[in-house]
Amino acid sequence: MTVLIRKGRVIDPGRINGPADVLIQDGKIAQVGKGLAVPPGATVMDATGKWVLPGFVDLHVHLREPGFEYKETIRTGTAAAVAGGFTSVCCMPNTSPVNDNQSVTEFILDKARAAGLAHVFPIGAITKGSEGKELAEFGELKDAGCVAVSDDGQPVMNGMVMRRALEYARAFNLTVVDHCECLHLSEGGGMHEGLVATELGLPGVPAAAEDVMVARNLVLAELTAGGCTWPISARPARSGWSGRPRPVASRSRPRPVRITFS
Amino acid sequence: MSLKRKDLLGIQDLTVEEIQLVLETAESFKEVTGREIKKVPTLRGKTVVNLFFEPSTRTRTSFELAAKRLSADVINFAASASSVVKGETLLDTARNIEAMQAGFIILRHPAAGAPNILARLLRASVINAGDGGHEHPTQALLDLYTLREKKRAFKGLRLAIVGDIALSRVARSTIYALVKMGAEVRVAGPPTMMPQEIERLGVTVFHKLDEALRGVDVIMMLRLQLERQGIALFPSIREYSRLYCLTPERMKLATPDVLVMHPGPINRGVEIAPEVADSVSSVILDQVTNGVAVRMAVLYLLSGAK
Repeated sequence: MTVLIRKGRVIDPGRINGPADVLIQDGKIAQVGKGLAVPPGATVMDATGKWVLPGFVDLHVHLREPGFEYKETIRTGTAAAVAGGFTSVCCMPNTSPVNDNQSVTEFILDKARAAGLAHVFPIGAITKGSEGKELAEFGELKDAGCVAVSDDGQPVMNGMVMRRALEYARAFNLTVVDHCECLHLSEGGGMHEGLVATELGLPGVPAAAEDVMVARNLVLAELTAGGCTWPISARPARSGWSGRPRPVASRSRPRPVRITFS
Repeated sequence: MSLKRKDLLGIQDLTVEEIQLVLETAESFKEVTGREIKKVPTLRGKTVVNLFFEPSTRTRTSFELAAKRLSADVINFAASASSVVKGETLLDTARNIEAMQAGFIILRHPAAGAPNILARLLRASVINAGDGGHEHPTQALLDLYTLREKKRAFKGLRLAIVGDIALSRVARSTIYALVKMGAEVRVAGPPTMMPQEIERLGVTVFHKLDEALRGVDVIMMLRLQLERQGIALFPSIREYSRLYCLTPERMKLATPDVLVMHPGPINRGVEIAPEVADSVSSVILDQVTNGVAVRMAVLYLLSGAK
């Protein structure tokens, strides 16, 4: 099948940002350029006044299935993804049961295939049941199709468990994604600590709850030379914990961003 | 005369004029509570529901008496003996009560902001009887009333609030009220009990009790909330009491006619020495007496707003 998308504003960061045509042949982008000729038998779509973008990838979604189908299913979640332009999603393992073994991973991939919407890349658990105690079987998770490991929603509080996770993950080239929140410092907290929390009488969560975990993870990442992702807001990362480059990526944790003074 | 608002949720958004109106109205109701027949027909035919999700003796009884003395019908609702234990949400519970034509819902709830949510969604007047560590407006109003009775002018009055400021809704409401009325407010306690940036509410922070008490006209002791301590904010009750208990010796640092207040219930010997609690300086029981008149005033002033 051949499709020609004409006269849209094509945005592909680093390559193009402006009016162009996109030619798709056999499910692949064959050509991008201005004034492309219409091949015989091609379906022509007029994208005047519209943007034409690469499919987005969401590294952090919750499809909730198995276990919480009353909130979301793999079908509804991926339908929402493609409706918003996301063609690939990485789903977090905090389902019930937790995605800490191949049966759950395979179940998710089967359901995703049956839905036939977005590509689904499962993220497996760091620890069994995401309880933060024993490592999950990374090798099996990777073979079943997991692209990373995380105990999302829960930090790995035990430093030794985190060290072992970072070391062990190297064998499988799995990215370790931690929910950076010291549960002791954030316990009982309802919002960002400071004047507004004081006025409202809500127990605050200090930024330090996040910073100390980021700092710990950076130090452990250096110790193990593993990969570890950390939130962009973190001061230890900004202030340059150490001069050496590390294989770390960043994301921001939603709560402190959503519920702040603003 | 009435308050031009449906609900009383906190002191923070009240004007000085509104506070004065409540205090003046309370004065005429105090006269009622001194009569042999302590009842007026003001709220006859209206229903007041006490919706309490936390234990309370003083506040609940005080609201109940206030409503009864205004001839309202009063329903007392204790969360532990209700459908709340079956999992009903706060809003559903409140909507069911409102469906029975209750005009006033008096709410005590462990979550800060719970009365604000009900107020927005219900037609009934909502009165905050204490929400988490947020506000306890009628307590602050009865404290002001008591101070006005004994001291007259608020302007320039020096008051020290001592104890767990971070967890205390009484402290917040009192700070908002007295700072508005022009008093000088000091707060004292260990740093672990001071919320961040509290000085931006217009108070001065002290960590040494003796320094905080020097030259004050009023001392308000807060109850050490032993039931709310998670990871301890102080090493032991013994040390807390040694550093922050109001003793007869410490009383000498304040002005000679200092008043001692406490929102109750008191922990004798922990934050306040028994001989201080029972001394002539203590107005703790006057606070309780005045609470009924102030709550009558609040109910009356809100009933006119609808």
